[in-house]
Amino acid sequence: MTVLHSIRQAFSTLRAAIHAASAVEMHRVPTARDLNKLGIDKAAFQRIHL
Amino acid sequence: MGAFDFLMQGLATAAEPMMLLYALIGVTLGTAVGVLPGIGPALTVALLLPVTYRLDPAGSLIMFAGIYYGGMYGGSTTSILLNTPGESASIITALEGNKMARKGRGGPALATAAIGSFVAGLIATLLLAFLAPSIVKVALVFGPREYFALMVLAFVTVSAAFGDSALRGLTSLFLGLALACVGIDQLTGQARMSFGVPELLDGIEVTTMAVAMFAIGEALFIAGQKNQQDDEVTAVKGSVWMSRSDWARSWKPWLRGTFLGFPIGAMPAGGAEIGTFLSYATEKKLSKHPEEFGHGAIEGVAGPEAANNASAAGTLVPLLTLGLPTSATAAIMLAGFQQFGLQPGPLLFATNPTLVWGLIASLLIANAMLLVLNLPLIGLWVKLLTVPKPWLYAGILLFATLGTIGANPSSFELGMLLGFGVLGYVMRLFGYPIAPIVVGLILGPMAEQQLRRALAISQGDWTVLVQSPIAATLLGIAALALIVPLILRARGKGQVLAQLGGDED
Repeated sequence: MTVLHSIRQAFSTLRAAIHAASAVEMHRVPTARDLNKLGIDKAAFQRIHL
Repeated sequence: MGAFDFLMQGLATAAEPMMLLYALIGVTLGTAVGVLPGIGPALTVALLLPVTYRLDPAGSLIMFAGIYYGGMYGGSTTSILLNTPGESASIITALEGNKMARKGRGGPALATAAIGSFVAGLIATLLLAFLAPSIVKVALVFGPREYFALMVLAFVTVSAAFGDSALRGLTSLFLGLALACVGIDQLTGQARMSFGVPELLDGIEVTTMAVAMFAIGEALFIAGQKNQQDDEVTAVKGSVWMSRSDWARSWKPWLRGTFLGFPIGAMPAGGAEIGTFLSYATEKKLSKHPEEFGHGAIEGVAGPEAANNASAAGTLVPLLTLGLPTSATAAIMLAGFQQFGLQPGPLLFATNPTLVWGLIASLLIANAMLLVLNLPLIGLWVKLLTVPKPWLYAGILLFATLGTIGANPSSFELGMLLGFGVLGYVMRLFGYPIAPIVVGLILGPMAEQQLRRALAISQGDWTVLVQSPIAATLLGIAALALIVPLILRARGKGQVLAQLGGDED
């Protein structure tokens, strides 16, 4: 159960990273959900001059 | 000869004075473009493609690789000192790096970024050198159907699997594939989609397309953005050197970042940015000081910076061994190989080992040059930011136009450059990815050639495409990469994807 949970967590982090990367490539701020999953504060991220 | 002997031979080639000069020009230019916000390695390599047309192939490719590595190094400087990433793979560095700079720890932040980049570049280049021969051995047994399947997989992953919108990615890809059909069919000699225009019989020039999409389109897009903040440089106070505690907190993130970034760079459409986001998330989870994240944690700079450099080396694995570009810069580098009549892939290792191994070895030298160039010259790099932005954008447009006309003096070519440049701008404006159109144009003819070869061998039997286990597996993965995200969206399980799609509409 724990192993399954870890695998699921790893995949959801990977998915969030893929979506966040895709957003920044298009000069957009990633969604709050993706940033949250990656441990990034959205307000801090918005202060970066993309 | 083993990989080590080849690498030693490559080092001898790369250590020739002219090659060292090319590498030095590459890393210096790369660092400069990495520092300048809005200009990335893809744009610079695209700009230099027509200029290097008549130069030595090995030297030009070494310079391109130097630009790629240098761009990854330089991007961190502005991220840390200005909170303005020089290129997208350094965005995450700004989160913690700029906080460190504001607390007067800009020096250690820049140092951990530069040393982390060096460590990652070194390990990842050695991984590239020792992995490449094994992949080449496997790829040498590939026939036309396996190559076709590999390209289908690349098409799907570049356009549909990892982007925001599968529809937009596929639209961009098919536009590239359609443009790839223009010109004389190499098998039958028949003119296709040339509309009676003699200049189109040779097809669309990849170099012109790359310069238009990545240089003109990007320059227009950045210049057209409203929110142009005046950047304020945070001065580097105190020692640039890292303390014992900084070293202790940095070495593990450097290694983790390297081993996260390298495979992700090698993945089709992986891109360096994914590795940096994953590295940040990993470091925050594993850190003994998670409370410092968001307030200037050194691990948040060390890991992502190592990841983006390792990813650059990772990108070269499929590019050199299979001829597959997995990022925009790699796609343009592939165009660079083709302009010299070289086709990256397993055969290049057999037919031109001096060039391939010289290129791989030059990365080690470029990496060392970057470490020396970056830290002591930070003041100089920051001064680059005083160049007024309108000059920069106008310079890019001028350089792109002159380069294209110089390589191909024709008003028709100039018209195509401007036309595709505007197309690149409009595509960016409406959120269409650029990499798929260029990948479609570059890989389209190769995929068509392999498909037609496979069908000619099988006398028109399409089932031959799935009769080889390797080809069937690759096509299966491509189908899954296309279908699974669509099903997730349809079933409402891909809430993130749906949310993103909603945001876009």
